[in-house]
Amino acid sequence: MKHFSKLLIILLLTSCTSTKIIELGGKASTKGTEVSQKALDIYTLLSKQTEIDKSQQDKLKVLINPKPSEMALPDTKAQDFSKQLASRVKAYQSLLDTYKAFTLLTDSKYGDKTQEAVSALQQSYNSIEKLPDIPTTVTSKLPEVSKMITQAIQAKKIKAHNEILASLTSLYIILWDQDQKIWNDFIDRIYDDYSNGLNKVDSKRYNAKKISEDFKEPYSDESTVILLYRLDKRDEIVKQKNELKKQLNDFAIILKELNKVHVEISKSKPDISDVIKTLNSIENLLK
Amino acid sequence: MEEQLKLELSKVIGEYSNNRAAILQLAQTNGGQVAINKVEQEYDALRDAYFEILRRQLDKNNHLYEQLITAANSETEKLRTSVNQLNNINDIINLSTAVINLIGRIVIVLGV
Repeated sequence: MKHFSKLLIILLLTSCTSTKIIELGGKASTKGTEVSQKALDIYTLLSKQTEIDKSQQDKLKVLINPKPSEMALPDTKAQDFSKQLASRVKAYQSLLDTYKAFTLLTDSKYGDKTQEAVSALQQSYNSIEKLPDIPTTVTSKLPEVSKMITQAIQAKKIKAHNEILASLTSLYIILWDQDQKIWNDFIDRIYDDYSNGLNKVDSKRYNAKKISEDFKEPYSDESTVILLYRLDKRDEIVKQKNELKKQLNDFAIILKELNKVHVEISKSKPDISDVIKTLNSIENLLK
Repeated sequence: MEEQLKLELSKVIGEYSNNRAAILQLAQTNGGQVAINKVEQEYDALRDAYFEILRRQLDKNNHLYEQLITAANSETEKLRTSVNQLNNINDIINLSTAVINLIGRIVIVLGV
């Protein structure tokens, strides 16, 4: 009985940590799934840029041509990056699948199911009249103890898998960082060329009256109206470009934060408040 | 070398963009739409070359992405095994319950 009480105390202490690890593992798996999905969304955005570039370049060819009435309909070749995007999309799809599997492991149902199963087992045993009943002290504690054991096993597995996920995400970080500079150049080329091209369009091509219909600025001078409209357009293009680049940059930070979560959970004594803080930071960056 | 070429191309494309209207006006005066098309084709070729360098730079990491896919898939399999092991704990207990129920019935039927 004395040994049983000691075992129970040890299990109770372990159980508190196990429950916390399972809970944190669950949150990490949810964030991991969202982070993988975010990467896939970014690649979808990048894939759309080739069509945007083609459309912008076609438009510029019309606007800059000194005699558009004589020109043929422009058809700029779209820059095909589908092959480069495909391997990256596949890699993040695999990461998404990994996190989906990790979500199953962090489900809190396993401990509860063990408790239910052991209770049923005890009832079945006790219902056999010819066999002596299990002592009440054991009957009342055994299902709970069994749940704690299952939770301890589950927490141990979660820790081990966090270690693997930490190495895996660190590889994703390396490749993202290497790619980011190239994708930034890709975005700069598309939006800078468009902005620079538009800046050189002859002012005579603009209709100040048409601009004034939608434009709310209080100016009547045609040149001012046209220039302000052009400034707005330029700022709009720069904003679009910077928003795209910010998404790439934010994702680099998100990946690093996710990696930090996995590293911390895999430690023998994880700093729970630090994990929660990092998970909140990921959530804010994902917004 | 590649990075240097990219920088040079970027500079030329930028300069062309800044003088595009004037260049095209000159082309129009000297050869009409044919000359304009030729100049614009040159500009497109410069941009194609720039994007081709970007594609090549991205391609350098393609094999690493393949390795990443293999590593992620392998971890997914390991996770599935861990999930099965946890399910097995409960399956074994449930099986034991079923066995005990069966023993109970046998005891009743045989009247032991």
